[in-house]
Amino acid sequence: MPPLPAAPSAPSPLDDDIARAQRGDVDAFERLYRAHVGRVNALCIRLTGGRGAEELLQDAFVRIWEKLPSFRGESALGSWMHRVAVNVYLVSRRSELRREARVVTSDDPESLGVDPVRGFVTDDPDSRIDLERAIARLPAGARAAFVLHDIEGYLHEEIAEMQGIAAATVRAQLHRARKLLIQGLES
Amino acid sequence: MRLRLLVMLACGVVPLASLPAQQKIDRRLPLDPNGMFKFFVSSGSVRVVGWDVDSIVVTGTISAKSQFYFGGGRQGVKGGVEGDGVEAMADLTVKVPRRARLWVRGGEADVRVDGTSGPLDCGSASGTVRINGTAQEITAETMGGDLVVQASPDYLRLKTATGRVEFTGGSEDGAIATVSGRVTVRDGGFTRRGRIETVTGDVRYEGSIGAGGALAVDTHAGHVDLVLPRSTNASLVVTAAVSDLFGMRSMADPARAPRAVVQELGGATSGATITVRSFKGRVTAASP
Amino acid sequence: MTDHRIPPDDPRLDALQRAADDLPREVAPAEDAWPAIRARIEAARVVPMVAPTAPQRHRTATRWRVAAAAAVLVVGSSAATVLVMRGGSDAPATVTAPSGDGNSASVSNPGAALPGSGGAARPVVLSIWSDYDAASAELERVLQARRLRLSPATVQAVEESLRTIDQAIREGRAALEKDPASRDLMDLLDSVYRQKLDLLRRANALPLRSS
Repeated sequence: MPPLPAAPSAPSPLDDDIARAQRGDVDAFERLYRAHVGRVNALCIRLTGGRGAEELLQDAFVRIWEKLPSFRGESALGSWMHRVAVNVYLVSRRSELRREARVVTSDDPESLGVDPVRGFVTDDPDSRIDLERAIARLPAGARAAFVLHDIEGYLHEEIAEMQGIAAATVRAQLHRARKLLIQGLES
Repeated sequence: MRLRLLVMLACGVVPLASLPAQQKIDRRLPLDPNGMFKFFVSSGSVRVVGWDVDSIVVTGTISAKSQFYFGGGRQGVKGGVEGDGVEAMADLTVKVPRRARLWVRGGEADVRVDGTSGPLDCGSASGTVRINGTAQEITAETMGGDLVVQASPDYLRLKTATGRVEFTGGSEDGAIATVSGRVTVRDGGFTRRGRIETVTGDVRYEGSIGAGGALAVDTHAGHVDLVLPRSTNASLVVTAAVSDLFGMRSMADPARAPRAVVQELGGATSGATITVRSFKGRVTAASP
Repeated sequence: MTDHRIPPDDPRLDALQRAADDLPREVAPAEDAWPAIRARIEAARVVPMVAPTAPQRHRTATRWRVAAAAAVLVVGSSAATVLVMRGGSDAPATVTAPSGDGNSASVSNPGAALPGSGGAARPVVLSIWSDYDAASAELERVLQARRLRLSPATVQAVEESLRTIDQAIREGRAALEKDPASRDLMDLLDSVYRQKLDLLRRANALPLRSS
């Protein structure tokens, strides 16, 4: 006797909030925002190198709100939000991603251990801080390739399609990023 | 100076307590050429100067009751002066590697940055900020103090509330915002993207816009004066209570919202746009 | 020129990937971005309320925004006022007249449809400003708690600026009530509100005096 089909699981509170937000409930969208802002913010900081991360975070969630009615649940909401945020970044920085040799800094107080009131850098020997700083200093194209592929797990082809460039170019940018990071961390 | 004070003290003119009490500062640490330096001064003045040595040197004086911080490694150094009001007066000069990434804040202090080329983020609440150099990324903020920038960064973000903004140079991507402070842009302007917003501050823009670029000026009540080169090739769209665009005058019906007036400069074939909107103010456009 | 490529089996690549895997996947924002996000969402909400009744006509897209031909003002709850805008005139978006210097001058015609609408009358409902007010009220409460520990000069600059901005908001709202179809007025008022939020956020981020 074949197994009975699994009963549909009861909608979770998150599903309720998605449905409500899709119908225009801003309070429900706030709960979705609170649940996912950490992940989207980490992406924004790393993609921008820190500069403009706050603006990108706002732009991304405004765009997520606008596109939410089109979300059909084919993926997890967090993954979908993530992809929207990536696209917002790539659209806004498309011309900058083609430029070479731009070194930028991470100004985000959280990532550098800065007390937002005092504004001092805290010396932190943690190697994660070193890697975050090194990522922030990569040229924009290499940084995007590394963040999207090695940290966020997108495929070369997905990154290429999102940026409108060849997959071979993504591979080259990724190789460059890794080389620069290894050199930077060793020096 | 000291002799005069002693004489005045002897004559009972200057109370003993008024003699200045200060600490001399002379500290140095190594810093890589691309290292990061963060510095905070609560009041007084700090001048940051770029040089071609891989170290940071802080010299000057701080008041006796201030606290001075300074420490870090080759990739990052932090420092600063803390205290309250006149008790934390500082008069410091900081020499940094020219390409260092800088974050400099003055609570009420004046901040001056000269000759650096690394990314720069600086500000003061009520002090004046002056920047002169070749930094490619500049972010500067004040509340009541003025912002005076002479540079040509690719990326520029300047904000004040009541202070004035003077930007001399060009930028690929610039945004300037004030509430009532006057904004003056000269000798270049924005090539790819420029945005100027005020509430009541007047705006004077002497510069150009690059092919395909976009300059937007929005103000509630400020007057906007554009001085555009004769070679300007752009669509000029102006919405204002009163406008005088290259001799063409128009005045909005006071009973209605102002309407857009459009001029196609140089044929407007480059794709560049200059959009100016002033709810209550006057907008003029002319060539030098 | 020698290409110093890293061989694919270089152990440093594995180490780099492990380090990347160890990076935190979530980083909380230094400041809560929700008030500003909410304000932007509320300022641009589009909710169809009235089906178009005018026949669809083809319009040539214009490069500049123009105001809709007619507007209906609907007063909702005390917390928000909604505006309904409809396009629908046959008039062209701009009237171009040659000027003497070889440039051409145009005057926009507010009687034309919104660009990109394909000529259809597109009903738009906008909620106005209640969430901006809520966000700025919250930020002002925070600022009041910090006020005594900011310098007098800073407090003066902030308070003077808030008075300037609030006056501009009153004037902008009054003008918008008389001419609710004006997209320029809406954008200008939106700019003033954003400046208010930004001013309050910056003031709340200023370092405090220790006593």
